[in-house]
Amino acid sequence: MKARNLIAAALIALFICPVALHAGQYDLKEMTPEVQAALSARQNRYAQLKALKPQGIIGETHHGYIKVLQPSPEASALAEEENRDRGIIYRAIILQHALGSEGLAAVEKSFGAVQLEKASPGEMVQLPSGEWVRK
Amino acid sequence: MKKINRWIYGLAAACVLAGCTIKAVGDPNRPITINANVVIDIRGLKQTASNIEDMVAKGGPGT
Repeated sequence: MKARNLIAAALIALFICPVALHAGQYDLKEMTPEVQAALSARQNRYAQLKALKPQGIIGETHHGYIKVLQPSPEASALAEEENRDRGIIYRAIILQHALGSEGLAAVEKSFGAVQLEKASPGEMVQLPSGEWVRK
Repeated sequence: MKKINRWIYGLAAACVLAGCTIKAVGDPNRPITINANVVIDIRGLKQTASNIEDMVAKGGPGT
């Protein structure tokens, strides 16, 4: 009887464990050189972007990218580089977790929501409705 | 009892081995289309996004 219970438990665990292990776990499994370079570049760029946000020169879109609100060559170059690096990280998450064709929109939306939460007061952010506001 | 146990072990082993393989046979002129639905846990994605953004914010020079 005990053996039968053990086997039943093992079979149930065999089918349930993979589901449980994947729930909510989308961290990067592998730090490829491309992802590592994108993260490092973002870290180096962070202070510059942070300084432009309260001035309203740039803002965070609701789909996880930087938008230039007051165009200047410096801001445009920074935003372009930042958005390229963010795209590398987003695509790596999608690829490493096989999130399929709907993955990009979900990842972008999630990063956008997090940027909205983490924005400091006075920074320009885009609400999910598309409206731009100063937080 | 031992015979039953042997059957149970055999069945369990067969389930484990067979569960890993899916074979599909069909007409090559009419390929089978499988629509796979990927369920994405938005809360899990937001947690990952938060972790990455924290790492970006804390990892810069002079921070």
